[in-house]
Amino acid sequence: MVNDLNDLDAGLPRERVRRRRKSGEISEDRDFVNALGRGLIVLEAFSAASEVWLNGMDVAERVDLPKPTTSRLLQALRGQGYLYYSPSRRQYRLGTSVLSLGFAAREPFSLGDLVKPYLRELADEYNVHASLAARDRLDMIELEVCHSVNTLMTLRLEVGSRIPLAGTATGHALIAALPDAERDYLFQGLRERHQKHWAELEASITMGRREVKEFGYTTASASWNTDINGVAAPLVLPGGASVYALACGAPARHLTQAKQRKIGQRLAEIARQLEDQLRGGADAG
Amino acid sequence: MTSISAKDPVEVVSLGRGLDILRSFRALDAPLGNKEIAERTQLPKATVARLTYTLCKMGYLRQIGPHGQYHLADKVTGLGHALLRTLSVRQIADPLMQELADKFEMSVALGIGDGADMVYLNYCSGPETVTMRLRVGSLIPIAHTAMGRAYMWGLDEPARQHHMEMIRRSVGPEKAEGVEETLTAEIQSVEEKGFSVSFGDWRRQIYAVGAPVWLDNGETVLALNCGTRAIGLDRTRFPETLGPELILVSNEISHRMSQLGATFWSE
Repeated sequence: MVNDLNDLDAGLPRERVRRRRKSGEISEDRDFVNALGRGLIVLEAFSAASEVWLNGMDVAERVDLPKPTTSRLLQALRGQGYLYYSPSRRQYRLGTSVLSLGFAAREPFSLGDLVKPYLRELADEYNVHASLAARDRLDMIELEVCHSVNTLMTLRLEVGSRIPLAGTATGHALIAALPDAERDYLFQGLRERHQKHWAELEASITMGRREVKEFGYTTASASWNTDINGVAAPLVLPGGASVYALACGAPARHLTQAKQRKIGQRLAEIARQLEDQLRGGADAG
Repeated sequence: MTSISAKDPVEVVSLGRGLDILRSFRALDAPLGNKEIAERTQLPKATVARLTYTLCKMGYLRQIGPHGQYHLADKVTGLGHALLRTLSVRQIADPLMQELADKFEMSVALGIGDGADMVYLNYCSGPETVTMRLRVGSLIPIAHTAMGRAYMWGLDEPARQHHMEMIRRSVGPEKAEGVEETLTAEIQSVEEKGFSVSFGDWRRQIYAVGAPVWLDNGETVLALNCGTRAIGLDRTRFPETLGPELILVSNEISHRMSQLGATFWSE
């Protein structure tokens, strides 16, 4: 349905549209929803301005869109609470609904932001790569990372990077915290993927579960055919709905067993601390 | 969750749907894929794909990982901050709210209606209060919360009808009547004392009281709440102590605003 929704300039003479398309004013990108893109540009005119109040003409000039287009967008945004209109001033300003556009979910603590200071601490103190990871199918995916000098060149794991679920401390820590049914289900997929090495991997995953149960963390050496050693602890959000892993890794020569244990204890502590914080409680309705 | 109706022009629908996607993200969400976003917003997946693509291009979403789940990007905070710095009521209310939060070791919030929800404009908590889930910008449902009920009571009839309609839409035709009936009764019960009480109606274990705040000679209505986890608490303390305290704070906010000649929208 959106196909015919997106071009605000449908009513303009064809020549004019063509000219503006050429100059790049109208996106030729067919997937780009112009009405949305322009609506956001209009909102941004208000957040960028030093004045609180703007009239339709001010906005049209700032966003460089035709006045009728701008005024339709202003109306639409006003109708949905994102702008407030003062009849006495005959001007618009930002409305309170802009706060509901993801502000609370983003700042200052999305889970990543909440975890980041801890990752920084771990990376600096132990000279390792520290990360928060989540599961995506049979992989772990990095959500937040902090590098140390030691790992900057050697461990190329950035936000969005993937590492295997089976065979890494990160993956094993996460699996250890999963409900039985989910773990059994995952094992089917993992068995298929790692046919040759499955017996070995399964033993190592089981060991990981035992370690997490007993110590709160698990370790892995020379993970996934590299010389990277790792140590990780699960992080379970309130209600058990989402499970993440907090992990540290470094080249084997920098991450001895003794150091892995020390970091592991700290990771387990941090996970408990975060879980307590996230459990929250005193929030009024 | 949306105020868009099928009668609106197409571009309005398109714009509103895109913004609904940003609204659908909640604190502590893991990255969401198009499929999950489609479920939350009840939009067709193909529509969602184009809208998320556009939001990425505009810097409001970012893609994490090759499978392309989305998370909020930095631009979302720009609009919120721009609004917050122009709301003088926050500066005036904050010390009063903080004092109350410290005194009772509770969370205290100030909010305004936003469709079927209240959106938090300011939030305070005591030094020992463990609070992580709610904050400035959080949305809580009007129908089930002390803040929402107090707000509805404070509104004039047309505004109340507007929010009621949004609430009906958000809960769907099957539940609309029941929710409206309960809420109407709750609003009436505020009348007696001037504040609302909720014992675990929204989230089990959360007790709260709510009171409206009238600004601009009653032209603008906000609402306050004050609450905490119910564990080990004496229920009677809420109506007896906290309700009246909250009304005092509400009155003080209105009084200081008018003394300074400040209006909510800085008109």
